[in-house]
Amino acid sequence: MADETPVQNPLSLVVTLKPGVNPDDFQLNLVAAHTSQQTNILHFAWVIPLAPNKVLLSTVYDGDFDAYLDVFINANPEGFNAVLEGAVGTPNPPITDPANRAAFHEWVRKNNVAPLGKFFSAYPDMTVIKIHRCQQKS
Amino acid sequence: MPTEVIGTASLPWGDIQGLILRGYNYPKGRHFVLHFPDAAAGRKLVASLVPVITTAAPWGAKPASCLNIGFTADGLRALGFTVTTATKFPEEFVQGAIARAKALVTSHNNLGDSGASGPEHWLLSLGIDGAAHAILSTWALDDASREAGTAQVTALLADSGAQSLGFHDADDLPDSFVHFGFRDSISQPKIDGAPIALTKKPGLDSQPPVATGEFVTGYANQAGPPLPVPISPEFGANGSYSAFRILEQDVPAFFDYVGKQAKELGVPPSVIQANFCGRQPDGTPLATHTGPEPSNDFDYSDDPNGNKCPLDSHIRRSHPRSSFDFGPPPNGEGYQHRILRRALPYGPPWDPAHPDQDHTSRGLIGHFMGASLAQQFEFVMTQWVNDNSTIANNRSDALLGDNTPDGKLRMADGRTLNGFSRFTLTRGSAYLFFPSLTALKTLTPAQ
Repeated sequence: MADETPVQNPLSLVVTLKPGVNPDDFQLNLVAAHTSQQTNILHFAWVIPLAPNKVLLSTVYDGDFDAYLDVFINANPEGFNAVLEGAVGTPNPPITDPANRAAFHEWVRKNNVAPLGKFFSAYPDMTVIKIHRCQQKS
Repeated sequence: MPTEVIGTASLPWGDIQGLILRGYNYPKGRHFVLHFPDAAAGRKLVASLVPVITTAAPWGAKPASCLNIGFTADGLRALGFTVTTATKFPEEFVQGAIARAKALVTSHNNLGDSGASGPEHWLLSLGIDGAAHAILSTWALDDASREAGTAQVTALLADSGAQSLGFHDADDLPDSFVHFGFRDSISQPKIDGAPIALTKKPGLDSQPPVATGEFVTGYANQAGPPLPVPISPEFGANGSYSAFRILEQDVPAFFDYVGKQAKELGVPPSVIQANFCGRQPDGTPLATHTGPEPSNDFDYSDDPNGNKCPLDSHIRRSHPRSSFDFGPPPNGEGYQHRILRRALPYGPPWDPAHPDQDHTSRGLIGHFMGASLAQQFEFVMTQWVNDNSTIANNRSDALLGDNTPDGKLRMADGRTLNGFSRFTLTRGSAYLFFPSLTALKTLTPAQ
């Protein structure tokens, strides 16, 4: 039986860009950094411009993002370094340095804007893996 | 006889503690929990241990015993080091096993070290903050050699002023079986650059070698460049991290459950057992496989739904290979997060003839090693073994997972086993760093 709480979770990061950083270039790094590894937890990822120097990264993923963040980092450290270089308030690169890595985990935890109220899902127990499996059967 | 090498990497075997690169294959073990009252005592002990620490260098005749040492973050602090992420120690090591057990308790990030498996139930002071400074592990050919090794350790402890908080033994069962009734240690990662003559065992397979940096600090890993090493390149390279674990196995409960289900479903008990493990008791995989038995040459590409090997069987949850669309080796996600298991059973074999007289603790004890505890030991436990939804149907690893109170296992034949509790309990844990010999030699009493 499905849990009441969806297995999927939203991650919503508001990122302020340093002066001179092009939002179009930055969003490519931001999405690439989070989607480069086939980990089968990410449903969706997209970036919305909020202001000339501000973007919103939205993703929907299965399970615990913190546990998977290192998988993404290790798969594409250069992508994360570009994110750290372009964003305000994040630790300095390199992301693979343990202190920077720990600071980035903390930054993501603090800057993940929680939804007002509940996160709605039409299929609260469907993971990316289960959806793929259903597709294979049909 | 020249020693052959796995893969192509060239490693300084004489500088790397031996248990990292090779399975010793000794039948006896003893693990001491050490405490350093002050830096001088700890450093004096380490200096006296350096000449007798076993390295990965080839040995001629097999020695009567081997000896290795790993330090907790508290232990390195007691020796005078700054152990923080600023000195390039990974955050999970800085925090230590007790803090991580208390932190990783949410349903999607559950280490499983809470409740009856929490630090308050751990043995040998391992659950007491600041008590455990090092684990000194010895493996031996027989009881006499283990006692001789112990006498040597005891003398060095007395001379240095370092303290032993106690020890725990390990004792092999016949034919490399574990208490749950399975042949163990068939699938171990093959490390690029490890000596092959010393790791060769029946079942050595055609799986590709794993990058050195997955298990030895300072080398490239599967994803690319090396992770930063702690303190300095001289100190931090050629080491490894370990989750030292005492895992109690509730063997009477397991066989009681297996027996009842076998009777109810009209199958031999070994069928139920095999569904829990993913292998037959003799090691034969349930998955389609090739090569000599017990085979390690298989994936799950023809079995996406667990109709040959159950999705929640132990070997499939802890090393999913090509399951769950994870992709082929060597880069598929299901082939990452590998763990070296340097563990042996402890406690006497269970006697099914006298189940009511059994009040003995038994299980598995040893080191679960990798270059990143977060990405190997912790990831496997939280995301694959215990996650109740991410990769499966609100279930955990049937044999190792945190299944209390209501485990479920869909067997290969489609029928479902349910209503079982957790069979494997945590009775101790310590996060350790195993430094190179070069690093150990810097720990002289004068500093």
